Amino acid sequence: MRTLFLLLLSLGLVWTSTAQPGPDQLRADAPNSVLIQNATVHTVTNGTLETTDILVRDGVIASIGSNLSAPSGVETYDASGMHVMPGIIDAHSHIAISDVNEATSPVTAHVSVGDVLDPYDVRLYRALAGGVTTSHVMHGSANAIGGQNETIKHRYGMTHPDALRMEEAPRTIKFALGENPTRVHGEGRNIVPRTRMGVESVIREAFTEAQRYQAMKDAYEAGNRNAPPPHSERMEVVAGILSGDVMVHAHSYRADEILMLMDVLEDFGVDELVFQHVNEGFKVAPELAAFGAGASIFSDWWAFKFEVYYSTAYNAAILTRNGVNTSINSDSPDLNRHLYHQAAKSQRYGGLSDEEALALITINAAEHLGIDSMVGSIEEGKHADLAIFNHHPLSIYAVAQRTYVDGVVRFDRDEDPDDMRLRVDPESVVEETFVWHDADIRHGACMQGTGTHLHATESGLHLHH
Amino acid sequence: MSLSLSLRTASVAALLLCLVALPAVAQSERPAVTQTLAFENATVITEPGSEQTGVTVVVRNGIIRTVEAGASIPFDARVIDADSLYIYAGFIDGFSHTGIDMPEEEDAGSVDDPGNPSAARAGVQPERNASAFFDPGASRVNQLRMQGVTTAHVAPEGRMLPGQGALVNLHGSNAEAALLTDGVSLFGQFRGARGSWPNVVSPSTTMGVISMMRQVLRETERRQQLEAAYAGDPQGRQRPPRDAAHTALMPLLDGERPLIFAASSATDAHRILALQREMSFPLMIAGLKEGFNLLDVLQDADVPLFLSLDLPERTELDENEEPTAYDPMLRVHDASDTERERANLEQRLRAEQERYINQAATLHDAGLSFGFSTEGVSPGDLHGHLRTLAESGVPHDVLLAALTTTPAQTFGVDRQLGRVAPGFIANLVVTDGPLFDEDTGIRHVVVDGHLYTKDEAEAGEVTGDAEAVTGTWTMTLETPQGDIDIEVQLRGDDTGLTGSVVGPDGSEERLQSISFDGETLSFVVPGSQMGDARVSGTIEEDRFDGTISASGMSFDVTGQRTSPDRR
Repeated sequence: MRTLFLLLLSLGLVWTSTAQPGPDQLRADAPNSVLIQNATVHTVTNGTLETTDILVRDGVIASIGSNLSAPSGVETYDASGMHVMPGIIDAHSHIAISDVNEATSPVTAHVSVGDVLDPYDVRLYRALAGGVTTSHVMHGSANAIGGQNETIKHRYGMTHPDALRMEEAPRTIKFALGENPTRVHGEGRNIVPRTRMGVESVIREAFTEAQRYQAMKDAYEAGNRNAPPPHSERMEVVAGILSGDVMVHAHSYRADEILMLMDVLEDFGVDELVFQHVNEGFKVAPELAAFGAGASIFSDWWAFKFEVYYSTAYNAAILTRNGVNTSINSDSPDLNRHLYHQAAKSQRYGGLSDEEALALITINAAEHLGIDSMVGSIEEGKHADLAIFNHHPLSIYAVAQRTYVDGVVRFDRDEDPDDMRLRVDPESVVEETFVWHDADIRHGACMQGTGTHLHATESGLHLHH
Repeated sequence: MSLSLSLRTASVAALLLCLVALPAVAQSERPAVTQTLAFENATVITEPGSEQTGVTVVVRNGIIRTVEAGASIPFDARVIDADSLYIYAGFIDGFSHTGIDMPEEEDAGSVDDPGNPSAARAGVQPERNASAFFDPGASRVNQLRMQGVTTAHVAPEGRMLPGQGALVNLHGSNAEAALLTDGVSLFGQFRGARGSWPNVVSPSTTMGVISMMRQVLRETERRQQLEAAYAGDPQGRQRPPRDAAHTALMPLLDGERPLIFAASSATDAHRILALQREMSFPLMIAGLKEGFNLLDVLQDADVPLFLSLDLPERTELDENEEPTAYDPMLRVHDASDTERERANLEQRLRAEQERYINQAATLHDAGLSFGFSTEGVSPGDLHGHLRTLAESGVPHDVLLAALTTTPAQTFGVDRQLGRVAPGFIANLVVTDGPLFDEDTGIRHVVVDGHLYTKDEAEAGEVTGDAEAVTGTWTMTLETPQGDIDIEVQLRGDDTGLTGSVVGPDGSEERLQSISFDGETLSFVVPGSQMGDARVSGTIEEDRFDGTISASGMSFDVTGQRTSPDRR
């Protein structure tokens, strides 16, 4: 058999033409113009438009209206009965990177997850299957001042790491308050911070050191010193926070530490701030609103450690009603595929409107990342990042049909092959497929084979045949 | 090294050497009778694409003196009849740690501030020099040399910046004798500092290493400015700060010494190329395996490449399976189709393996030039992998250039190395057939004019009654770390014996040179890394009592024949 294979190989009969991922995985020649017709369009910023067309040209939303005609060479997509919403923005994610935490110091501002983007991560594609087009890829929460984050577009199929970057997005950095930094550094290694007071002190000291560093640099530039200070990658970035070049995204749960960080940033003249997780945000919603801080939260996840017990699923609604710009994020390669369900929970718990609920995973998240002028709503001139669902995206029956990033179809439920991996480890093995039904194991066989007879629809369960 | 881990990976012979680290035994050097060699009437491949037949090659005092037909042979030459032999320039390994023996690393315990470790603890040690750690007597030097590798670019082992590479000949009584050029490169890799939680120090991640690269390079830049200012006008200025690590990085920023960076994956290659664009320094990439995934980027970057010779094994297809091509568009709809999906995934895996195997051919087709790195390759697999590359479509001349002239140019030694020409260093590979042919074997290797002749695999000799030993033996090696059981199978008759040994991990090796004289049984277990192990002992009834020895060590071996086989 091996000999036969080698013979075929030498004759060029095997593989050579299929030795690359297929064209649909790479989307190499995919167009970035399309006319989407007859859809229900959830613009998020301008209401819901029935039976509406969206013309996308060169990756940008060119026009929104009815009876638009496709310019020559532009394909059309009949979205009759379907719902189009802005591509979902996940303001807290850790996908498509090879490292998450440089946990070696309470201040690691010098590292950046943007240096280790991994465009081969198939989780980019899986997120597209849930309508996600932009992710805020964050450093971990081991350090009071952690590493820099990267805002990426899910341009899955492009294999240059730079192709993922959303170049226009402002720089952001991870902060972390509470149990994580105190456990890692204080309890783990007996270095500051061991307490919440310590966290505050680490941040204030780093800011003060950065002020001194910047002052020495400025003095050198002005000719008042004959040498620049010893170079510090760490202080360069912390100084960037103080100058407003790098926006703070702070992992936080408790109300007291949320107030603390606002006080600290106010003392140092930093006014752009987004809190991540913010489970006790509902307790300090007016204070958050007064500061102008954003809150990017979980819909209903808590009690996974002591500081996260005092929580409520009404958090999104309370924050929103108090005028806090609020988004719902995933922090998970699983939850990010159904962020539209997470957003819908704000209707069950707090009665947010459709538009408010959708804003939680689109325009509000875009504001948190400083990219709301480009993405987050369906408006002429914005990037053509669009998610098309077969039902209202806040319906439990909604299934994503197509996802466009910059006008390119990056997920297509009808056309995409099963195997969308861009890279396969040549030393790996193909896992054995295992049909539980055949194994005659009761647990595994639960409901097996019933799918062809039992159909769930909005009007109930139907048994066919 | 844990026992179970080593058992899984090492052959029996290698295992023995892992268990007890003994200094390598110096090879006994006999003084050569003459420093002059003459290969008479050979087919000489003077450089890739240029072949001459009936040529005599004369080597004297380490230098090639003559390459011509009918050349007169000096009176003192040792003459080697080469009329059926082929002579090539010795191979140059573009990057490896061959023969590098690093001292034990200092304690990896806690440091006061894990976020600000010393440069050495962080793995920033660019001041170290490979020649200080190179041992020409190391067994891997010997093994690679017998595969035709005569020169290697070797680098210290370590963390992110382990030190400077050196170009060495794989011959010599000591590192100084083997050294061609010191400070050829600075070696770097995405490898964080030593230590595991909670003693982990910065940098512990790839992003930490990248950030630390920026830190040390930008501080080096600052110090260069300070030094220049100080040199211009020292009066009233503080002396610039100095340390070995930053000083050793200055030639990199001056463009005088390249960074050779280990990057096997496409993502790692992208990352180091991004840093190079940002900081601007000369770069070489070593150990590349996924170059096919970034062809256009490599074309733009135009940096020297040393492709890994560590090729993936092709997954064997199921005997009963039709060899269908991978269907990239396959969609299966329910569980009854899982078999079709599995078969397709199997084909995808095969197709991906071909992409890795075809890397060199793909790069060549894209107009990229390259050398090779032997890092991670068993010396015994080297020529098999080169043949695989030849079969994958890399022209033979290109393969030979990748082994000779290309690296010689890259390292600026193309007037001394890479060709069989008068005046060049006498590094030669002498084969009994064209280099990339299946049945071709290496007969001699010449390094710096010294002749190494491959031992004909000693044929075993059976003079006793073979039936006294054939069958299955359970043998126990009594090592200081405890007993290790192996199973030995011997087959054959009085005309000759063959056999195999199965290690405790199930790995199997074929035995060589099996001899039995009616009383003494001996055989050789070929080793992959550490050389061969020789087993010898006496047979009494179904019992064996003897020793196993390799590289100067020996242990007792006892054995019991568990199933005589009289075939």
